[in-house]
Amino acid sequence: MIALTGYLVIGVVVLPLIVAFNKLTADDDSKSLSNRLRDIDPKREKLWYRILDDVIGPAMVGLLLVPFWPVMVVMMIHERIFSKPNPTTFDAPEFAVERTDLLEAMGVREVEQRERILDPLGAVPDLPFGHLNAAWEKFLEKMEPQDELWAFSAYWTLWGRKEQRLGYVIVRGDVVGQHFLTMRKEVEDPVPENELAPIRVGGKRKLRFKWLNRLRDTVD
Amino acid sequence: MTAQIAEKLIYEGEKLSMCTTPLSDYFAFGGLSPLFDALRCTALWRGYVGTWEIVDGRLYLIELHGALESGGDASVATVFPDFPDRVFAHWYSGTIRIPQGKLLEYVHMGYSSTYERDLFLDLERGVVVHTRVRQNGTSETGGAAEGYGICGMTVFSRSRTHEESIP
Repeated sequence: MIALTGYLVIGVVVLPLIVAFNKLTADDDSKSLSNRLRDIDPKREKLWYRILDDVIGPAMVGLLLVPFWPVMVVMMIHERIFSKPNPTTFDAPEFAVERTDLLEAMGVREVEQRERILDPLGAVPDLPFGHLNAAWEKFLEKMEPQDELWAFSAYWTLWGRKEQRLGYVIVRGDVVGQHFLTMRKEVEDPVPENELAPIRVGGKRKLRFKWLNRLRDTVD
Repeated sequence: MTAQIAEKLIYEGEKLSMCTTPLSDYFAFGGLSPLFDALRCTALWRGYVGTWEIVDGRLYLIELHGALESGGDASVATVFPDFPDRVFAHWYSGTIRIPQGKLLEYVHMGYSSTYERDLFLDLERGVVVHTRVRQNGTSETGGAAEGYGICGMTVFSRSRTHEESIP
């Protein structure tokens, strides 16, 4: 009996330590379940819900886990030693202008003259880059006296979507630096017209490409 | 990802659904973006619905409805304080897709559903340079509704959560 009591007491001490350790080592930007629930349902901001979500709920779960505290310790150690980076936090590759994308060096005034936008209905400010003037001014703040400003045209593919991107980029010595986008446009590798077939619904199962229809007809 | 609510476009006197979001490019190019409340509705991850108009071949934003994380409502003036009534979308180059006719295939994701026709407007810096129509097929389902729609979404209001269906 004394051994069992001792075993449970150790569990009562160890579990809060594990919880505290996890809280201290968690990512800064990770949100707890209770925080997510509050984002969705603001009434959970009330004191009673906060006590329920942050104190009573975890305490009940903790009590249920006390008899299994050695398992929790083993799991924590295993996670610390063998855990791999979380694949959901994968960073998408970031677009950057390369030297081969550069078109021509231009002065700031020249660019601003070229990028003035006119609208017969007056729905754009009479400033370089129109509604994006503030973003342009912010971009210019990054330029240093010896920097060059270049126009660029680049192709960029992400998640299977190919884009043409145009804009201006700061070149500092040999380094092609920060850019300002003025256009991005999806570029499709065109599907030949004769490969496109109408989709039918309600009759035979719809097939988007003619060669698939032919294959189906052969099988039929 | 749930099927998304379309933007609205007034084109040649008709009010149409537009499966393209030109404001996304504005924000991507560094335009100031307010914090839209994107958690309210699963069919509106962007947090707003814009109404656009083509006048003399030029694309304009004329209305915007959305909710802000701060609790207020968003309008055109929230994004473009000096142009609350009409904004020329000079930043947008690309293709606007306008689905038309009856539904052929429903896909509960983004703007992936297929309709009998797609009207495409190709724009260069906010100006229409080309229009084309793609025939996708003919619906053989008699009662199918005309025009773009979504089949379901979950709306989280401040006081309650409920499911809604849109025919």
